[in-house]
Amino acid sequence: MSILYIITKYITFPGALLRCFWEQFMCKIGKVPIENNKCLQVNEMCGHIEHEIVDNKVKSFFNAFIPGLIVFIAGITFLISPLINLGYLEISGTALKIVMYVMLYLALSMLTNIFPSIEDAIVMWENYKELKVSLKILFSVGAVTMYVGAYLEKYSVTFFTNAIIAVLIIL
Amino acid sequence: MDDLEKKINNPDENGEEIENENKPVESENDKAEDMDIGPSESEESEEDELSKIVSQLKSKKEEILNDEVQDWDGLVDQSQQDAEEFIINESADISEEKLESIEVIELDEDDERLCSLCHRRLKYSENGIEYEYCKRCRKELLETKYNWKSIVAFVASCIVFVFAIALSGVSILNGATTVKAERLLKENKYTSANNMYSYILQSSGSGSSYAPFSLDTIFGVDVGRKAQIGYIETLYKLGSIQNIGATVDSYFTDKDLEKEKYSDIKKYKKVYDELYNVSVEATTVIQELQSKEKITKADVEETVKVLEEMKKENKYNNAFIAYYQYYATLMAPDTYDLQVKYLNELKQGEPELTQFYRMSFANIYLSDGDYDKCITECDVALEENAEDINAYRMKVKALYRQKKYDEALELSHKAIEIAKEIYEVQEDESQLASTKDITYAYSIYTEQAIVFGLKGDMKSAQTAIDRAYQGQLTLDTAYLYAMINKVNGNTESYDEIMTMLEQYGMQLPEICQQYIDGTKTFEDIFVNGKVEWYE
Repeated sequence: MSILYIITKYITFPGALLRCFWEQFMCKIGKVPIENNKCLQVNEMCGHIEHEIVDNKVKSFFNAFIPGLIVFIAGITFLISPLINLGYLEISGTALKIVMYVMLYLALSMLTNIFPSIEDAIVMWENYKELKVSLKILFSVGAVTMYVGAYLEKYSVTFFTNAIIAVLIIL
Repeated sequence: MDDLEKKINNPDENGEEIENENKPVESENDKAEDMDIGPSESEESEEDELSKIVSQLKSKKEEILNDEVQDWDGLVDQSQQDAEEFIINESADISEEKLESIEVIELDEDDERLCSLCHRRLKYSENGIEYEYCKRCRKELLETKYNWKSIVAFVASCIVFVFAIALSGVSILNGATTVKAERLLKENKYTSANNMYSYILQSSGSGSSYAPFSLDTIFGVDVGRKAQIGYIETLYKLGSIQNIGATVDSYFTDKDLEKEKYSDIKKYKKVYDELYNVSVEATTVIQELQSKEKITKADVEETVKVLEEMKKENKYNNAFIAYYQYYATLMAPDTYDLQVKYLNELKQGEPELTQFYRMSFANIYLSDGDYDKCITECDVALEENAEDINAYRMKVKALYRQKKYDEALELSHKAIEIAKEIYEVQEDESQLASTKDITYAYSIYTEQAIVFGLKGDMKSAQTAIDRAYQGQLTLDTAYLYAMINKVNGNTESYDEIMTMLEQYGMQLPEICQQYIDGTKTFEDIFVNGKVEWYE
């Protein structure tokens, strides 16, 4: 367990909670038992829902992919207005600036929580390796992104990358 | 009995162990006691008797196991399928009391076949897949409720998401308009860029077609530095220096202007301040000149001299004093030398302010009959500002004076297209009068009418002058309108314009009348002759 990882998850709690919601939602749809629905906890599962290992290949892919995708879409939607207003139009009004900073923080918190837990990523990866070639090609981008992203997120790389981008937008 | 108990608790048929710590075993013992199985007094040997008892007990045990506690078999020695069936029916068929009784029999907790959660039941398996938990635990886990924090996050994110979509829409509209304006600025299309920036800055929610929504209305703030800077830059490029001061003051504080990124704005403001300082003094001098009934060259020279004195004070920008000197020279005839002198001085002092001198030079060259130089100046002006309609107009004049009518006509068409683009002049006549500052745009129609007239196409000349007349009425347009309508036999329109001129105490110039009388041609007037009202 990395303390940095835990801190990152707590800092970006809106995104972490939203991801947990969608993870649980996917588990419910896929009828995957949830062992622990506590999202913010001081362990390696912080920011994720603890659930039974998903053996179904496609299900394990979507279980890892869909919550991230939804949170990613939310993050991008939140990012658009601060990106344009702070990064390009350079608004100067205080009220709007505050709104934009909030939106930027929300976007940052969402985009820091788009990858699955290491556990889910490994299961997904093992299942992915057993897929047919055609499906492998179809899911390749998503699978590789999630697998690599899970490790990047584990070491808070995504958080720092997003934070740097946010600072660049503000400046 | 101890031996008996040991035997009962021995490995079962499948060789699996049942730990001795439970009620079921006690139950078996109770049953054994109930069966009256004390030592026999028959002649059979004790061993035989014991063997019989053991046999009875075994059969009884089997009976008990099969009847009363058959559920346990699913947990200990039945096939996995049986266990699943048990678990499926468990919650429905077994009371809580009996469930409690189940818990007393447990396999080794480390046994991998057991549910990871309860460690009591076998893991659930389906289609060859063994799951982590038993069916009962899975069922419970599947019903796990959402974490309330996650629900709050979900609801909040939905609300913020809708807000973000709306905000993004507004931002994208403003951003796209600003990007478009910026592109126009880079393409040296300053008039269009200025129009677009102006729309962005002035938009107020229900305003312009460029920016129908504005963050101004939502948050009461500006729409961004980008548009403000762009707008001020276009004012500078268009030579509209007098508008820069108020604009800069409304958007930027002195502290802002100290920042490096606003150095250009600071420079524009400085130019405005310098021009303003000169204008305060010079305007008084010029007004004195204008107050004279008839301005002569000597009067102009006197005014120019006064202004020259200002240069010695070293507190003004001398280039701008030269600009006012040039302005004074325009008020009297035969001052071309002076005009060129002061324009050169202005050009040297403020070379960036091309709008102040470029077309003035072109006009001087045109008046002097130096059409090539005029065309060169116009070309440079069009490179500097691709939408300089005045430069197009001047070039058209220079071309038809060189008798290059086709070239002039082609250029006039091009200029009209550009003018339409800039001022949104539509073919729909009703919209012509509603467009904004389109004087130059319609002046192109006037030039086109002349070119058609020079080519002898009076019908097309009529169409062109009609558009110019409907759009923006100037003196040269009025005179030309009268000439063309009279020649084309449109008496009603001719009478209309003549009445209008009379109302303003004006008359048709003699040269126009000569054209109507047929003593002069279009070529005599606009190519070979010097038309004072037209110059």
